[in-house]
Amino acid sequence: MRRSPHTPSLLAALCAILLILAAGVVPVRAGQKTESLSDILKQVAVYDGGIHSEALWKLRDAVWAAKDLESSRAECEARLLDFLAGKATPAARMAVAKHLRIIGSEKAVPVLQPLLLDPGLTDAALYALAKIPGPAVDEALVQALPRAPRAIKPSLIAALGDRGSVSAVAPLAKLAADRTGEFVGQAATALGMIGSAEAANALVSVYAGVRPELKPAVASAILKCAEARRRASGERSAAPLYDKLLADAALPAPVREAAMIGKLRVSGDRAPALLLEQLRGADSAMQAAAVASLKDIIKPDAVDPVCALLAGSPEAVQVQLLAALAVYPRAKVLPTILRAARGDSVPVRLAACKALETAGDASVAGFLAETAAKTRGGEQAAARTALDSLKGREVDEAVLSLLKNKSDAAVQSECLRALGLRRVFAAKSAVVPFLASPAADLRIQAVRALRTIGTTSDVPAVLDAYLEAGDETEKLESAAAVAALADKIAQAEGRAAAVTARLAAEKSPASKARLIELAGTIGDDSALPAVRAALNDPDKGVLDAAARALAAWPTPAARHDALALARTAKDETHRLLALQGFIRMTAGEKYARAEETAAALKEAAGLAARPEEKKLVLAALPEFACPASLALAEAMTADAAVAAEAKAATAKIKEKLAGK
Amino acid sequence: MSQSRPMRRREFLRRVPLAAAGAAAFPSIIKGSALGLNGAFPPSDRIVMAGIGFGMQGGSNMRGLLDQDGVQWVAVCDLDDAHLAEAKAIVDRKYGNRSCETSKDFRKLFARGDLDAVSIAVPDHWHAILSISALRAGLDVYAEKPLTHTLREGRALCDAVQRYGRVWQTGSWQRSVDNFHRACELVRNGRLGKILRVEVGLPSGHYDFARTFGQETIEPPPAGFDYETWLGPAPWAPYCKARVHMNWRWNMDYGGGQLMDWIGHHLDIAHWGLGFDGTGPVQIKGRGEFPTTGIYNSATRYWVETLYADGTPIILAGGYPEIQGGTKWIGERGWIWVDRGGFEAQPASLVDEIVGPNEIKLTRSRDHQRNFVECIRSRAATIAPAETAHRSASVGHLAVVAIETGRTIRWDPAAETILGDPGADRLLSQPYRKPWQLPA
Repeated sequence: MRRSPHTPSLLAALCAILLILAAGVVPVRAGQKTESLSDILKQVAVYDGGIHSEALWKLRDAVWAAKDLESSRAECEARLLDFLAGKATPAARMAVAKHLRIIGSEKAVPVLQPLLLDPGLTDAALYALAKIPGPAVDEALVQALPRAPRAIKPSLIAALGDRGSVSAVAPLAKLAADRTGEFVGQAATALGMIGSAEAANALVSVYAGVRPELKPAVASAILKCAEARRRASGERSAAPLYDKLLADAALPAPVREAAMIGKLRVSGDRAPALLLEQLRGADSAMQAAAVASLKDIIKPDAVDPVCALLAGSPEAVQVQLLAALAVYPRAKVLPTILRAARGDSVPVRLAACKALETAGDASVAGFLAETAAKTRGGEQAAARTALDSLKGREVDEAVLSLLKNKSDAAVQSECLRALGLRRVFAAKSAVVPFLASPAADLRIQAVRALRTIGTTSDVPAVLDAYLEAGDETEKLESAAAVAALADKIAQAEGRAAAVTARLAAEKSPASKARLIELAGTIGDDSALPAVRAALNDPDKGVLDAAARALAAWPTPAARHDALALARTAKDETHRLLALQGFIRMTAGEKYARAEETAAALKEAAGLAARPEEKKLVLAALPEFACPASLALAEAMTADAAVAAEAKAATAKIKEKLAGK
Repeated sequence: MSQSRPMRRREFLRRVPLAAAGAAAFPSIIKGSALGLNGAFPPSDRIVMAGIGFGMQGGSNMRGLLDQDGVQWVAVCDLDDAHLAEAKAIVDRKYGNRSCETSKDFRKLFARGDLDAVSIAVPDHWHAILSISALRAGLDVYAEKPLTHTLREGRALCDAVQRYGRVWQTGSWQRSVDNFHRACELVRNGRLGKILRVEVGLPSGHYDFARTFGQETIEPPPAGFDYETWLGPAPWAPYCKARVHMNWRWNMDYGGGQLMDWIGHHLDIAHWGLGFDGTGPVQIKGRGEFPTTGIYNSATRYWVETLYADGTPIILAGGYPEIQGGTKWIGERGWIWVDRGGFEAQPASLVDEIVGPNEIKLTRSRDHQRNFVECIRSRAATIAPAETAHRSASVGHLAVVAIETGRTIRWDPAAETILGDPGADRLLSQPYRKPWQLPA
């Protein structure tokens, strides 16, 4: 494995450079033979581009070691240039060119310039040359351009454009205006990248005379050039370029759309009127440009005309305008958006609801709650998201007021849901009574809300709801709420105190079983004695709940209980669950001593009759690599049912023990 | 319809009566139920799509987009006949016909004139040329991360998105997954207090996706695979199996190794949580370890330290067990760690915490492909727009430069220039092989 030169210390790097200066050789690792750059380049010269790339890595080390000191860099550059001009495989030349790209100077120009015209060497020469700064390179490329074979011209054109070579404008303009049209697109693109005033003039001139099928390519270059002109000399220098394109109705829609986007950006005070004109027009490309530019052009206090246009626009444009209007001042856009939200078109209503997420306020809370209550699917989801997203304490109060004053259960359900998700803590006292509602949906929504906005004092009430829960959904939601509220108790020990206290007083076996299950969900270790005791309960349901709770206990504190259960349980399901739990808890103690964990896992393996549990043991073993875990994994390779897993575990443990 | 002004299909249908348009204007007659329509989207609002690149992620992206209401897939493009056939079969099976067209030339695809959007999932060295060509053709684009192969290409691509007013979605789909969204919202809302350090754990080594490791014998490219075009703008190199499909990412001429492969995921998430979507670090230094033979030359193990203008350090590492895979923000009041399927925090109660409406709410998407399709219709910004993806990818590009030069890189994220190191600046772009050129 090779390391980048950042790894050694500065001192080591300096030593390496001194070594090169003193001996003209490449630094090598201990035990390796010292090799000169010339020796390395001889090996590189025959590289075929395949697997045997060792010489390339030596070359990289050599160049990296030389690149940061001028004298060694210059010497290295000279050797690499000699190499490029000599005989070598194409892959080798490109490998060397990549290094010249980093360390090359203007001194490389005389060597590389002739190579530009050789089809077999152009790419490598350009790779090295294109990134070297300075006018000498521009001049070399310009000189090569008229003499270059047709196959090579595109590379030279692209390089001149990429470099922004202002001295290349005239020859590029000549190519762009060539009647054969062969290099029009490439030369125009390069002129667009150069972006000077001369390049802009040249492009306009080319555009006027170019064949119709080539106009889009030149037009794209003009768009690029206009951006450069705007950056360099301001909006006035770019506007005529956009006007030129907009005057050509035969251009493809995307180019005209882009031209209008550009035109709007450089139109200053006239831009809003121009944008509205496009929105009102029938040209969909211009409408699209207006929509794309809306939030950049229309100031917050000038959005009224856009609002006025909404209802009369095509449905698709209404959807787009609503998305754009959402970021404008509420007072300006809310009535328009709300009107759209009450309209006939489903896509427009959905877009309006989406816009209300940011543009809505307390005044629309009722509308959204009612929409959510009476619709289903995407529209309900959109209304709910909007209700949950409205900003402001006034919205919280409006939702709370709706809850208290609306008798419609579906609307109340939406309010309860929103109050939880909006974290309206002040709503708690209004929510708690819904735990006793005859409507299951309201009870569930109240429990969900209290999970967030409730406090530890609400545990008893939610616990009641849990014990009385009618169906599985309500039971699970209530259990999750109790666990979440218990989590808010600062001290971990005692979080299940309310549950264990209720358990001690509870007579009903069904309720006892539920409470034990809940204790397992909370995972407060101080509840373990009560759960253990329940293993001796005469009621099968209670015993079952206790066994399952211990097997699934979230902390390792129940590890020994699980092991005992795995050894002694009469019920096979309990035994298996307990064994799985024991393995999980054992493996979960990441900081235990490896030997101790290996011993525990060995015990688990001894209790495991099925491959499933043995595989769990094998999956855990490599995390606790030690001679004991290795011995166990190796021993388990003899078991055909888990041999593959055992071999994999053995290999991993060996790797870890070997320090790999 | 003017020959020189191709009108996109939705625009065309809005303006031309269906009967007048004639059957030839439509690639096939497809039942509305196959498009998931149920009357919701009339023909004028169908989104007509094509895909380019089906060697790996393209198929999965296409399946996700095919499932969206109102999307109609009409063509697939790939340089390998086998990939083309597989992709076509998926589309044809979906619609119950054989109408999906195939092409090996993206230029022909873009010249169809009936497309609204394209999905691009090709090797990194092709990202910029294909994407800007698509934008120039007026297409909205769903494309894979990293945004581009070089940093300078990334800026050019972002400019093109603005120039042509297109909708762009990067395949940084973790932004559309709940645990990442929740973690970022909690961090953004100060639940951890001031952020002291961020750790981004990425994969290390090289993974043999295509099972072609070691197959580096030089041989002629197989029939049905256009290798010359596959190489495209990259430096010429002879064909061998290990160079191409899926494993190309381990060679820096076509990809960027694990670092660039994952920068658009976990670092992207780190940026999202910190509110750094429009900026980048001011200082980057790094080190890497590399293979000693073979054609793969991307780092197999790397450690990169970045520093942002507000003093926040982000560590990027691959192959260092002390940096857990995923994204971890460490603040004055605890930490949050998030990964695919993982979300842990200290204090643990943060995991269940809800961010209310009166706090900073990040854009919400539950389905990355659906978010793209919705934004095509609304013209709103997607959840992973080009500029955001460029800023994430930039960190990776700069890390590669720091590793390559062995120097500490000082970066101006506003001007996007390397300060005081013209040699390093040369590494921010790569010359293209003839005849390729970045389009305008």
